[in-house]
Formats: sequence, structure tokens, C-alpha cells
Amino acid sequence: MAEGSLEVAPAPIPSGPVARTARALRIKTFVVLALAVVAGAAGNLFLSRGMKLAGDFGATPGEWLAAFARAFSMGEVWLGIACLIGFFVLFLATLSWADLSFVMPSSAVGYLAVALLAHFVVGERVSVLRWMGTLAISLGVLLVGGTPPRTTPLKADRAQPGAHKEK
Amino acid sequence: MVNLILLALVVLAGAVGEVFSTQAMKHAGEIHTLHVGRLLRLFGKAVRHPRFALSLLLMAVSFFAYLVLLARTELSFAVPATALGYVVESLVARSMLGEQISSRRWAGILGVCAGVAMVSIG
Repeated sequence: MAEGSLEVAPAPIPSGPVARTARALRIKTFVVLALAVVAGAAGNLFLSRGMKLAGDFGATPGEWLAAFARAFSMGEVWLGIACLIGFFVLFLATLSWADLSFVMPSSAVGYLAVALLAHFVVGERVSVLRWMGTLAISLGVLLVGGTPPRTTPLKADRAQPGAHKEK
Repeated sequence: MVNLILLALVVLAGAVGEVFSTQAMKHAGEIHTLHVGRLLRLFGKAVRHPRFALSLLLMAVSFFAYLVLLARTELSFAVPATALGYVVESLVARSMLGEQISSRRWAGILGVCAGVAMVSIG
């Protein structure tokens, strides 16, 4: 045996973006998406409640305007809008690192959240077909969620290796 | 015919709009901080990207076309039809953003699309 055989070069320790990618990226994506979905579901719930409180929209433009004015005097409507803005910002945040074709179908898990909220919180009757659809969505989201969240290179990866960014 | 044009407008404007906002966010760079100042700066960078305003415009067009479609057709037609958006948007994301959509992801997208259609009919 050669003397040098003991001096095995240590395996390069994975570090930086490469090591992070798989698990950390997935956890980060799921956490932010979950927050987005909760905000979106809550937003829809508040909006639905507020609009129902505002009552019938009527047929003439005048009645429409009056109904809109009533709707925007409801705290629930504003709360709903705030939640939906929160949803949009969190959704955009995930798009800063993940694929659109990952984030967009995954956010459909919101349908499950809304169905559960409608059934358990609002006490609406959810039909069998609707539960089956919710199941199909959930299975679809599970499939999409099993794929890597990002398939395109990051801006930093595209840059020349070793090139230094100028301030 | 008008309904089909409206549907195409809802789906295509929505898809291209979301692709544009994805480009703006990817241009701003990956978020990995909870520091408020840095977050604001990053979102500011995204918002100033020319595609961002365009994406808001396209999403607004899609939304108003959707409202008109809702007024002209039944909800049980409008929502399942617009569920096609999941497939169209994925195709646009593949061609414009170069995202790689594996068969597993396609299966999931189709499941979501079918499920959304069922939810709205049910």
C-alpha cells in the first residue's frame, strides 16, 4: 500500500445554496404557502360574511352603488381585503424562489381550507361532489408538493462563478 | 362566442400576468430574511420592475373579464372553465420561464384542475 493512501482528500462538505436547496427550500416554501393559504381562506370567509351582511345587490346602477357603499361600511369586508392582500404578498414572496408551476397548483389547497372552514366554522352543508373535488385537489397538491419547488437556476447561479458583485 | 373570448381573456391574461409577477420577484432575488427593511427593499425592487405593473394590469383585465363572464354565464360553467387556467398557466410557465414540469407535477396539476371543476359544479 502506498504511503499516501491514508491521506484521503476529505469529501467536500456541502455548503451554501447546494446543501440548502432540497430540504430547507421545501420547508420554507411549505411554511410560507401555508400562511398564504390560511390568510386567503380567512379573507374569503370574512368577505363572504361581509357581502352577505350588505344584502341584495339589486338591478339598477343606483342600487348597485348603494350596495357597494353598504359593503364597504362593513368591517368584515375590510378585514377580508386585508387578509387577501396578505395572501397576495406571501404568494409573491414564494415566487421569489419557487416555480410558478409549483406555487400556483399548491395554493389550491386553499379549497380544502375553505371547505373545512365552511363545514366546521360556518356550518354550511358541503355536498359529496364538492368533498370529492376537494379530495382530488388535495391529492393533486400532494403530487405537486412532492416535486422539487424550483427547477430554474437562481440569479446568483447564473452569474459567472467567482465573479464578484459590484455594489 | 363572446363567452369563449371572455374565457380566453380570463385564462390567458391571468396566466401571463402571473408569469410577469414571477419574473419581477425572481429579478428581485430570493427572500431569505425576515428583516423588515430588507423585505421592503426587495419588494420595492420587484414593484419597480416594468413587468410588475404590467402583471397587475393583466390580472385586473383577467378579473374584470371574469366578472363579465360570471354575469353572462352560470357559476357552474365559469369556475370549472377557468380551472383550465391551472393547465394553461403551467404551459406558459414552461415556455416563458423555462420551468421543468415533471410528469408527477403534471399529474398533480391535472388533479387540481379536475378537483376545482368538481368543487364548483357540486
